[in-house]
Amino acid sequence: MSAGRPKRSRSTAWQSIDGELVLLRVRARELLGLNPVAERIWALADGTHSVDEIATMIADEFEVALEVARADTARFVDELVRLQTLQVGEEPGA
Amino acid sequence: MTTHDERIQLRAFEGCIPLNVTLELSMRCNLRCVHCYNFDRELAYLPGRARSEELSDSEIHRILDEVRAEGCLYFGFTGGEALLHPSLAEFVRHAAESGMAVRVKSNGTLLRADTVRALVEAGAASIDLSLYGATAATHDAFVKVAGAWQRTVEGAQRARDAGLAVRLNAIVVQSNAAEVQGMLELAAELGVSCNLDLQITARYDGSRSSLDLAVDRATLEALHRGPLHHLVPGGAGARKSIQCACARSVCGVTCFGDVVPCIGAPMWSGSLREQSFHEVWTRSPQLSWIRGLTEDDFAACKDCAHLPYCRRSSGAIYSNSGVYNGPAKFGDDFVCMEAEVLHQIHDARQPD
Repeated sequence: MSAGRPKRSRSTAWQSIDGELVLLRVRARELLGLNPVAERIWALADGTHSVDEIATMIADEFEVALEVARADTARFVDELVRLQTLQVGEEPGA
Repeated sequence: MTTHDERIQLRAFEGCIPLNVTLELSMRCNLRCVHCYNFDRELAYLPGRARSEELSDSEIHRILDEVRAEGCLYFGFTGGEALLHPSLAEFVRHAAESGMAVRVKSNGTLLRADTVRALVEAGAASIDLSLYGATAATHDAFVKVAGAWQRTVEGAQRARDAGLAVRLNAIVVQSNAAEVQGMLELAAELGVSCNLDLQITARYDGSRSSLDLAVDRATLEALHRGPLHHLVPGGAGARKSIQCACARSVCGVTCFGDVVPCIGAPMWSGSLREQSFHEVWTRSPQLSWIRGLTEDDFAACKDCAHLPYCRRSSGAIYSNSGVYNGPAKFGDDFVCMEAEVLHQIHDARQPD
């Protein structure tokens, strides 16, 4: 997973509403609110960055330990993959 | 209890965020529905306008970017018949890839296998299909095209099988009222949802003959005591506000690039050929006027005893009367009669 490159699923819509990023799982008609760290991971999940690369950027930008950022990023990506909101490919843009 | 979606909708309403935008792609249609709110389909086109005035592809792509930037999450393509537009799949792809949930409103007759596949691959999430009867005879007489019902039903099946969320929008008028139960059963057989709408409006061209199609009071009562009993509000009625979401969390754009408070409320509020969507949405005097209305501005409604049972739509009232905050007095619009009927049926159900 750490080398995989997460990309937003086309079955998910999203919008920033009053400063909060909201994901819409279209088929499930379920809305999920994201905190600022999750919002940043979502923004970086464009298929060009690996989970490790995203975690490194999160650690830098939010001033948290890299190991904490890795664990949190991996957990968040795993959860969104489970919800079919993210897909993970091995190649950039996959 | 409110759902997350209701909370988001409320935040958009209060913050005037255009969360729900509908774009009319074209006035063109392959059917000639007798109730059509665009214009009398016996005419070649909307009087006073020309097809050449409709938005170009590049204008539509620009509008998609602008409404997205302003806060849109739910985007709908409608017509006319949206599937007649040769670039529909490209527009759907643009909207979906930018993060919007895309719904297409259609009559379904053009949903061939390749068309459905193109919509799904482009990222469409759902499709609304108009239904005017449980039988081909009733439906086809309404849309004035033989074979339309069969093609719509087959289109619904293809869309469902391809994974689109399909909703039948069943329009109930006097001529198909006897088939309401059948329409509900058809939706159940197809495994798709069904939305029933009893309100017919006047047309954009100002003609009003469509209003003559609405169900009469006796039929309305029979429907709400029968197959539509589930639409009678429980408790004391759920309606909390007279105002709808027009110009606050809802917006429409016509095929000529005109912004309207809702695609069902043809009140010119600005042109996207002269201004950006942001400029119109934030500066239009028409939209600001609507946002400034209070319950006191709805004189005939604010103290109405039937208000908890009313399904008033400002767009429909405006189309029918020319007065957005109408009706002028109780009884002037179909929804008044409907609210009164719902109220009476509700009260008759209550124990002494």
